[in-house]
Amino acid sequence: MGAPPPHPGGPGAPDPDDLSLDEFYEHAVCGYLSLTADGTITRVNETFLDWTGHSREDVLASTRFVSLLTVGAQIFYETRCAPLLLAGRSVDQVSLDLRRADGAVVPVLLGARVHATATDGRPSVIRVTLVDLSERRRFEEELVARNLELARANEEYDTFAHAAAHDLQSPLRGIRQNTEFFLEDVEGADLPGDVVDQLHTVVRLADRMQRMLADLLVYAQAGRGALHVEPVSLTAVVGEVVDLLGDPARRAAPAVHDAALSADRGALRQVLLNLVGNAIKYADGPPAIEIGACSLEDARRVSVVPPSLADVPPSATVITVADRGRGIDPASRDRVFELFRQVDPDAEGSGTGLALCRLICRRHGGDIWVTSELGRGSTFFALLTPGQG
Amino acid sequence: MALDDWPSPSVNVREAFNVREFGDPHGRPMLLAHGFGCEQGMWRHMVPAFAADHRVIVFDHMGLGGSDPRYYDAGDYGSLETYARDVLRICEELALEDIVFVGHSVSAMIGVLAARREPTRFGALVLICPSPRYIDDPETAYRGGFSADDIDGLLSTLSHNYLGWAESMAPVIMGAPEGDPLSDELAATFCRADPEIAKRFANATFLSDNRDDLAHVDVRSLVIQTKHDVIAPEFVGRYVADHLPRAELVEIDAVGHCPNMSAPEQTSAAIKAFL
Repeated sequence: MGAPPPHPGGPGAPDPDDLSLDEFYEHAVCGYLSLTADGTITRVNETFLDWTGHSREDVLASTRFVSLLTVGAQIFYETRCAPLLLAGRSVDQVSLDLRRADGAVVPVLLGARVHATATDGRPSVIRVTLVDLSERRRFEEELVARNLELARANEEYDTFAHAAAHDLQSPLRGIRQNTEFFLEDVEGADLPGDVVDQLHTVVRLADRMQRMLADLLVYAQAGRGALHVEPVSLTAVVGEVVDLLGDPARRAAPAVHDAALSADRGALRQVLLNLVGNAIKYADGPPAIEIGACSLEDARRVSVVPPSLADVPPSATVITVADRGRGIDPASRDRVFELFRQVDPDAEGSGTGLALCRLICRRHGGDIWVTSELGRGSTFFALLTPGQG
Repeated sequence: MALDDWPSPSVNVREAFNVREFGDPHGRPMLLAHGFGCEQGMWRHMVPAFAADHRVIVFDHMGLGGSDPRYYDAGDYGSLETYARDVLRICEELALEDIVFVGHSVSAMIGVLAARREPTRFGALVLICPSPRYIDDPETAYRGGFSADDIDGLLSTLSHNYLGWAESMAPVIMGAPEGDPLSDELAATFCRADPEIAKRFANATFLSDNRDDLAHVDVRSLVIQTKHDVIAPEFVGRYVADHLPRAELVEIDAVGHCPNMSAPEQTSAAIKAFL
């Protein structure tokens, strides 16, 4: 080590940044304590005394560290931290409450290390570091409260969406039926042509709204009920999807590279139903659809994986559905998964299909994303079970 | 799957509860039951003391340590009775008779419940830092040492430490002592637990009231009391000894709630003297 750099006061003046170890220890940003194996305090720094208002004499008069905690924290420390330390383990990031001399509570984060062990292997010195958590704890508690609120609001929203979609169906049926009755009644009557056209438009719009409501109901239901994750074969599920989609799908004859994966079978079918259905709908000429699976790692090489999957193991299975259809305009690529966001205004359908796929994937803990090139086709990537490799 | 649903021939009780045996297979069986917040590794210093002339058996309570969590059913484990039933299953599976049951902390009361159900199986009960009820009961002038608010405080501390239970702990700093049969148990997973399970166990433990069970235990018992035990203070240990029909109380020279770890020699000596 070279000579210390000159300090602002110049040579000879007292160093404002006193680097002596005592100074470091006593006035550190954290509270420091040393304990014996049974938790009796043998050393304490000024910072700790400042926070807690305890006097050095009191703290060092064979006081056990645990007695400076609130009662709830005492039980936790004695049943959890003390056994770990007695077994020679470290204790890290434990959130506890200290009781100050005046009775007030200081939330702290505790870390403890066995610093020296006796010949029998048991700890002889335990060093404890405490960080003041007051602000953090308030923030944390607010966050927890808001999370609860959010969960409640989400639940209400689910119920609302379900009820709305369900209850709007019957007046709509009434509008459609009465318009049709009216059209029957006035058949042959001398009405201006545009009046009849407008009435037909009412029926057509009512039909469209009915489809939207039916899809919305499926969407709202997808957020409810438990998932039954089980091993499924991709080929088998694609077979069911082709049956459901009927002739157009049989003609398209999607190629499947089989893969074994774990997912809720119904949910997986729903996702593939929408992706294969779209691939047929947006084909440019005869559809060429390829369905397979790859690892998340492989998917990363060819696509931009959503940041939500950052922590998912690279071996997780991703289902791919590729088509050589029209492709998606880069400007709308991020919006295709939004509810009621129909990229093609002329398309049939309600705009819930891909939103439903995303909801299902996310409920499984995964996500869905797409790469596409206009005129050359799209590849959808759906990850349903992140834990599955 | 709940334990009661197990078709008995196919149940592997040993694996379900991570049962391990040491010492003399023909010796008197000694069953060591760990307390809340821990696992069988906490007996590491005491097993050698009894291995010479006992068949020493350790296990992990369901949902903790190396037990098989597939058999954990949240609905069942809301009461200590279920943990007592598990103890009896282990005794049955291992065909244990004339058992010396050593229970630390909450497992002391789990042993009391098991011995009440099947008194003939047990030859002796050793209760280390027991408490039949943690919360004071002013109506009966009972002192457990805690208020209901204190226990709420514990539950809130538990929820603030949600992560601490699952994370892997740093490796052992100290060397394992000679002849430590449980040292491999003290690998990175020591006392790892599912935080939800820990919370439910805390509820079952600290809201329990087993005072009425004490009078029905017709088994020779030893209550081991330490100094400055914030969980089970001296007046609680005294209460347990006074209300068990055949109990003696011994205060050992140890501080805190885990004498089996902090003072294993004194703890073992007290048990040997009693036996």
